[in-house]
Order: sequence, then C-alpha cells, then structure tokens
Amino acid sequence: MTKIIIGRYIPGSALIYKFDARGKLLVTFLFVFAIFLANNWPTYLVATLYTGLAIMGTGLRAHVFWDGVKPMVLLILFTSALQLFFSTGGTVYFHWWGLWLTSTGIVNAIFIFLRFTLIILISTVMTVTTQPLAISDAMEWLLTPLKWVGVPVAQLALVMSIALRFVPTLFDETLKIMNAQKARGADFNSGGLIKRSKAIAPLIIPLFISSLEIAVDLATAMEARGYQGTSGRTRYRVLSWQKYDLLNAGAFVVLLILLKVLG
Amino acid sequence: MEQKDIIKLSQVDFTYPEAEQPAVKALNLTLQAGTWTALIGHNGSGKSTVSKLLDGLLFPTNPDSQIMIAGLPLTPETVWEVRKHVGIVFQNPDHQFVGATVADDVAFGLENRGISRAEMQRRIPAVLAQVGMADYADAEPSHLSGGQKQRVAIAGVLALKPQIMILDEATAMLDPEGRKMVIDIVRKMMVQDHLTIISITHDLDEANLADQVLVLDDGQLIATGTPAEVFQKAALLERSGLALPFFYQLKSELMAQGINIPTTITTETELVAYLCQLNLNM
Ligand SMILES: Nc1ncnc2c1ncn2[C@@H]1O[C@H](COP(=O)(O)OP(=O)(O)OP(=O)(O)O)[C@@H](O)[C@H]1O
Ligand SMILES: [Mg+2]
Repeated sequence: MTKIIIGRYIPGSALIYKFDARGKLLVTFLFVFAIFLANNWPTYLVATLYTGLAIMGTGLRAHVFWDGVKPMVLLILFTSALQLFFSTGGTVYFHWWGLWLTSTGIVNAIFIFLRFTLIILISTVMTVTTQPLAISDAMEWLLTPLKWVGVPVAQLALVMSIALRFVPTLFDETLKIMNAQKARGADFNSGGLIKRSKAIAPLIIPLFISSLEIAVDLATAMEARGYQGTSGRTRYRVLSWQKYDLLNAGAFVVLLILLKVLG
Repeated sequence: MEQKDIIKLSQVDFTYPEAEQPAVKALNLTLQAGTWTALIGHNGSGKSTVSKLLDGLLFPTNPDSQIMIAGLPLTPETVWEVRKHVGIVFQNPDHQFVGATVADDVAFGLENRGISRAEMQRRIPAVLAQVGMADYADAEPSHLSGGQKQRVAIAGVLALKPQIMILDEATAMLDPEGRKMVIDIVRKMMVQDHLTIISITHDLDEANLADQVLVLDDGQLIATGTPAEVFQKAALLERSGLALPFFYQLKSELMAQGINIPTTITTETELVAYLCQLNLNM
C-alpha cells in the first residue's frame, strides 16, 4: 500500500533530483498538453527522445519505469486497439464487419500508444525523483491562483502533507488489525470474492475507529502546539529556484519549439 | 531564580458534555516554578483532563473556577498567550508527530507561532542536539523508534521555550531504556532552563523521584506531598487502586514482619545498608 501511494520516491543524486519540485511538476503538467502538438513521426520521435533523456537523467534502472507503466498497460493497449480497429482511411488491409485494419489505423494506434506511455513515463520521472512532501509544496504553489478566489490552498496543502505523513502509520495499523483478526481465526487469503469481501468488514471497522482516534489525538496535539489556522504561520521549508532549473525549463522550451516547427 | 507559584488552580470543576460524573472535582493546586511534580492515579481518574485544563484545551465547567498559569488567568481570551508557556508531550508517539521529517516536526510549533525562518534554522538544530537527535534531522517518523519520536516531541516543546512542560504518560509506550533516556533528558532540561515539569505516570518508581507527588482519585486530589509523605499512606493508595513503588512495598512488608525501619531511610540503597547492618547485630 505504501508502495502505491508514496513509495514511488527513490533516493538518488542525479542532477534531476536537484531540480525544483515546482519546475518538475509544472513541466509534467504542461507535457500532457504539449504532447498533443505531436502529430507525425518526427514530432513523436522528438517527444520520445525528450522522455528518454529524462529517464536516463534519473540514473535509475529501467524496471522502475516499467513499474510505473505496468498498472496502466491494459488501458493503454485497449485504447490503442480501439484506434487500430476503428480508424478508417489510408490503405485498407483487412475489413470484417465494423472492424477495419488500415494504414491510418496502425499509425494512429502507435501514436496513441506513444502518447499515453510518454505521459506516464514523464510523470514517473517526476514522482521517483521528487519527495512527496516537495510535491505537496509544489502543488500548493501551483494552486496559488485559487487563493484569490477564496480556496484555502494553504490548509489543503497542510492536510495533504499530514495525510502523506500518516500513510505509513495507517498501514501499520492495518497490519496490526489484520494480525489481530487472524489470531481470532479470520482468513483474508482464501475463498471466493464474496467470502473475501466479508473478511474485509472486520478489518475496515476497527481501522475506521482507530483512524478517528488518531485524528482526535492529532488535532489535540496540533492545538497544544499552537496551531490556529494557517494565517500568521511562517514556513520552515521553502522551495528555492536554482540554476539547474534553467536546464529543466530550457529543455522543455526546446521540446515545445521542435514540436511546433516539425508538427 | 526566586521560587514563585507558576500554576495555581482554585475550585476547578470539569464535566465532559453528556458525562454523568464530573471528571475533575473542586481541584485546588499550587505548583512552584522549577519543580518536578508527578501526577498519579488509576485509569480514568482524570489525569489527562487536568493536563488539558492546564493548557486551555478544555475549560472548567464551573464559572467560579480559576486557573492561573505563569501569572496569567487562563480564559478563552488569553488561551493562546498561556499556551506559549505550556508544552505537552502526549502518550502515543505516532499520534503527535505532525511533520514529514524530524526537523519539520520540530518546526511545526515554531511555524504556528510565526517565528522567522532564520530563527527556526538556529533553534531546530540546537534543540535536536539537546535531545540527542541531531543526526536524524531529515529522518522520517516511520524510521524512528518510539523513544526517538518522543525525544523529537520533547524537542518540539523545548524549541518553543515554554516555562511548563507536561508529560502525559509520555514514556508509557517506551521500553525501560527509552523511558530512562527521556526522563533523563527532561530532568536535565528542567535544571538548565528552569522548567516546571508535570509528569503524569503509572510508573511509581519514576514518581518516587519527583519533588512532589499528587494523587488523583475519581477527579479529586486525595493526597499531595513529597514522595516519602505520599507513599507512607499505603492503605490510601491501595484503596485507589495503586501499587506502591518497590522500595515502599518492601519497607511496609518488613514493618509487618516486625522489623522496625527508621523514617530517616528514604532510598533503596540506605535500606540495603541498614538491613545488612541489622543482620550483623543479630
Ligand atoms: N472526551 C471525553 N468525553 C467524555 N468523557 C471523557 C472524555 N475523555 C475522558 N472522559 C472521562 O473522564 C474521566 C477522566 O478521564 P481522563 O482521560 O482524564 O483519565 P486519566 O486519568 O488520564 O486516565 P488514563 O490513565 O487512562 O489516561 C474518565 O472517566 C473518562 O471516561
Ligand atoms: Mg490519560
């Protein structure tokens, strides 16, 4: 569980780790839109090269990125398959009822496949090289405009960083409850779907209660330590732009220009 | 520093909403600055409620109740001012660790008080060094032991430079070694910063080392005094469900066997010496 939610960060010392989290988050976010500028082989090649450079820049092993893509593989293949069999145009190789296999279809399927995969890879690069806390800080910065329309961005960011902080605690709590129920004869690992879902109930209820307990204790502790809302608070942790961030921005601008020129 | 009354409670009553029994009844109490007070009592006797009343996390339910902390009357208007003088370390190390890392957690209280970043960068390493956690500034809580987390919680309190530190069973979930380390650090800080310590505990051997012991029973103070005075009242303590510290248990059993122990003997070592010498005389 921790692995899914926050265990993505893998400590490292490559240059990309030194990039400011705000820059990385922004680039990841804009990449999703930039990739729509790609519409032919040269532009997809450029986008793929950009992603490949980013991956190499992390200095991490390939399976880290495969782990990022794996959960999405079915979705990617399914979407690509739709493109493959339902696009019309170009040379027709094969036609059966509503299904077409055409040259356009094949190209579209490959493009869609690349688009998806590249987006996932770029976000994986961001999450494995940025600490969750820094991502949450960067998120706050990115959402700053919402402050002007009255969204309590600072509170939300605090909630998010506390939530991140408590994932391992709740995970431990879950294990503890599971073991306690196993000791009473519960079986979480066998039987059909219904039997297994039934076994989950005695897990969820104590977990819910202990989460509430933690929340009450935490609220008391926060108040005792002088927390009275986010106004008037100072910040210990601040993000600061470095010269490396120019590299991050520069590379992205080059990508945009190439996509525009070649597209 | 002169001895002054830093905490003064008079006629403090508190009943939880929808509770039938008051959790604290007619509590009168005066504590002197720079002393260590142990607050003991059976489960549900109202110890945590008292600690919350002292920090304005709860307010007395009787309008005639008065609480003075560091010369300030504690009211909903002054509560944030009073809280600057009081720090609490709670029982569960995991339920009070707010920050994502050790340094962030110590920073939390400072941030709430609007302390400048430059000042935080000075204070945080200093207090972490005081509790022996300087090497762990960037560690995440899930990689720390319970005792280490409690030391971080203490550092978080010390960073705010309070006059009073309350430990609400802060060592209850620690092993004996972690427990001793935490108590030793607090004792050192008490002397160094002239802190007033209130330690809520079920560990009567720890209470035995306090300057003063308070015994709560169903929300009422049933005994106060030095450890020697309070633990003398074996019958009273047993009635309120408390066992005596080992030294007093031994002493009262020896007395029951007809061996007379002089009242001048107040420590285990003295007792051992006395018993050996007694044996020689027989
Ligand atoms: N939030 C609450 N709402 C209602 N009643 C409460 C609440 N918290 C505590 N009580 C009751 O108030 C009384 C005193 O509780 P308190 O937590 O102060 O005891 P304690 O001496 O700290 O006990 P322990 O040794 O178990 O920590 C108990 O009878 C308890 O059931
Ligand atoms: Mg308690």
